[in-house]
Amino acid sequence: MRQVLHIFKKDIRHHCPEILLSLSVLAAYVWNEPDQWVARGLSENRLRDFLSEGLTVAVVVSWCILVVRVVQGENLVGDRQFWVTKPYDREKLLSAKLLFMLAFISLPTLIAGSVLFAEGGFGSPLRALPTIFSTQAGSIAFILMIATALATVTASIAQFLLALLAVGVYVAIAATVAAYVPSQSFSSGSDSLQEGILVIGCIVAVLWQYTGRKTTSSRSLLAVTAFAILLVVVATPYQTLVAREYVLRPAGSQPIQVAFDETKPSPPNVVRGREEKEVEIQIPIKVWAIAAATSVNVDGAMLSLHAPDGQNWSSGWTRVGQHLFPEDQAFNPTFKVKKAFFEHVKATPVQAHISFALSTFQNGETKRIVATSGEFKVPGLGFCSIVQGYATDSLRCRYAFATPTLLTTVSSSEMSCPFTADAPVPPGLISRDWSGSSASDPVSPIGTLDIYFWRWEGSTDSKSSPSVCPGTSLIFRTQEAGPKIRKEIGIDGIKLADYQTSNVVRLSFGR
Amino acid sequence: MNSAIRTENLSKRFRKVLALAGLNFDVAEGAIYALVGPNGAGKTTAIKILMNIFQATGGAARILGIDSRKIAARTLASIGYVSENQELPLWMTVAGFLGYLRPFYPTWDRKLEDELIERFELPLERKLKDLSRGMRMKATLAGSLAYHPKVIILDEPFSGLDPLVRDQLIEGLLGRASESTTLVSSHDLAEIESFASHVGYMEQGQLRFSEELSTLRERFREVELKFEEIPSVPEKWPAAWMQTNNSGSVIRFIESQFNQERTCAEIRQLLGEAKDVTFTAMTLRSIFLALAKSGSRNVTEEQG
Repeated sequence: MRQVLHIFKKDIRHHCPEILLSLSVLAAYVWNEPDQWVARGLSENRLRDFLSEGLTVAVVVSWCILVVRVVQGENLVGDRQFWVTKPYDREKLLSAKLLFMLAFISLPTLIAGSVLFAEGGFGSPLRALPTIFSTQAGSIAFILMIATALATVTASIAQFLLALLAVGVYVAIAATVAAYVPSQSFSSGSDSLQEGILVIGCIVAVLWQYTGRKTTSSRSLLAVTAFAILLVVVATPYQTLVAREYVLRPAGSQPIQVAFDETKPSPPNVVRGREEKEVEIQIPIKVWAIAAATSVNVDGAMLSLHAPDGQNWSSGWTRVGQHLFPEDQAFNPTFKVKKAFFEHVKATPVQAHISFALSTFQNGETKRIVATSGEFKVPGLGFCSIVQGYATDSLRCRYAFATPTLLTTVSSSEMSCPFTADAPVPPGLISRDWSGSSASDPVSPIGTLDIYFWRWEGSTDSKSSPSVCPGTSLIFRTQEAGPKIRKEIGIDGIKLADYQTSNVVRLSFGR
Repeated sequence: MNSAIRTENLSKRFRKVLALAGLNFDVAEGAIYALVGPNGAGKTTAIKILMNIFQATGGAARILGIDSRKIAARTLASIGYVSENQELPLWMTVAGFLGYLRPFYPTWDRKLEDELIERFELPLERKLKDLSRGMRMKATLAGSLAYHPKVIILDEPFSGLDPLVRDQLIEGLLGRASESTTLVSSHDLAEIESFASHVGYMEQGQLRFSEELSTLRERFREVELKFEEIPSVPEKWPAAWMQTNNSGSVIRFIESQFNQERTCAEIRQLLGEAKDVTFTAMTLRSIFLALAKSGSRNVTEEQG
């Protein structure tokens, strides 16, 4: 332990400027972060969000600089380093470096998170400390692990930046390759395997470097790791994983019914746009039998087409993100069909098969809150305030830790905003916003959630849009996740040309 | 006598370049062994394998009886290593540098450290980056001697240094010679002549010969023979005579197995009675030049 502390103290003396830089950036982040919790005009909010994201990136960059400098303080690459001929215990050297990262990255971040937690009005951070730590730990460890692995196999900051550039190129190539793999963008089934490979690859490379300075082997290992991840991306049976995650249920116990809407759509107003490699089609789907107090999110859909001449085409699983409520009767998922195939079959009746991946939700706790000017508290969620927009009003809410899955409703009967003469609002209409979970920030345990009320449901009047003013009654319902199910629809004799939407303008109406 | 350093059939290949081709040498405990040879002979590579900085492609190297591949912190605490091209923590002051090294060595001697600081006239408050090359080398040597290392390894420590600094370093080394085994690599023969006890000559990754310096000096003589008349020269000169040159009545050569009685008898037998015979002792530099010119293979065979 004495040697660990001895190296640690030396590193503090040596890397004082980098430590100060990192802490200053973190302090700036903590100083700025509460600013973006406050509701402002939409454009100003966007600016604040941009600044906040910029500072988050700056924090991560400052961590990387700190990691590279401290790891390369006892450079593991090369044959001229002074320290390799001195009686350093390699395990203690690695421990000293980890202690440094703990002291000047993890600990300040934990303190920053606690300050933000208290600042956010969520009470004393002391009791929440383990949760704050656990929410930060994963993302911080991930960033530091990759930075450490790259720092151990490079000899200087310049080499580290080159390695980062190589990682960037690799990510771009992997993303391009992944785009050609059907269903890859929808399924996260192999994410944990990819993360596992990455973690093992990085840890082994770091250990190899610290125990034996096997730079070539470590670099090769990282390259093999990257290749293995790419292989997993390409070779994962995504459709099988989706089928396993979203199960087919017997007809009697379905929380939703869906069917193809055979009503022929109105002929499109054809306006030729620029030529693309894919043609977008929109398939009308009827929905019914969604039980009261439940809702269904259409996570994804897959369209398979079989032409009479034996040619087949499948979209693979694609994201949809449409949320359906009990009173909804239809929705129109869109698919991008390969242009060559479309041109080949567009006038011929083909067999179509559509699969839907659906997540069901049940209404949980309901809270009726009257909006006030300034900030108002929403028990179980956090704090919200009204954002006045040009076209529509929204709420900006802040919460601690994970984003809640929430259904927020405003009713025209309980709206307190003054109506204008040219845009009266008929009573009894509602506007809803459904918001799901999203990724957390590596530093702040406080997240923000924007709730938008775009239009009155069931109203064809485009002049009036929902507004939220002080005194408006809002209903917040937490959404409890139910089973994930799959629905399959077979359609005989569909002519794709009738459902084309890209390169054409189709007049369509609401639900 | 036990070996403090030993290599057996050591080889190292850097892609297509064979840097070491079966290197064998022994450094006895207490010796000051100079590993000499031209640039690119493989001296630094051999030392880096000994220090476990490089991995050998084949063969073995042992230092203090330990396989160099297994050298760990405990062994390194008994080895002092100084190299001309070491990357030092230049941001440290001399005092900070020595203070940083101190806790790594259980045998660190503060009194000796002070002596070395005084002897080398080290400016404690100056940063290493602000020191001259010679002063930096002295600071490094002080940091490598202050813990009474059992083995001191110096890789080209004197190159580019002025004579005064060189002498100071040599004095510092000699001051600790009684308690250590020293291996010093150099391509400058004059500098090691004054203090080495043994010398090994490396060329093209191999040791051409290894010998005690005193016997080497004894063995080599420049011989000049003057005759009354031009002597008849034999078809084949003795193998131990190198660079034989006859210009009329004067014959010069280098005797590599000098023994006055035997050499004189050999001269009489081959060339008859000379009017004047001169034996001149040679510098190490002259010996190595002679060896290099004559082709060292024959010499190795003779030694064998």
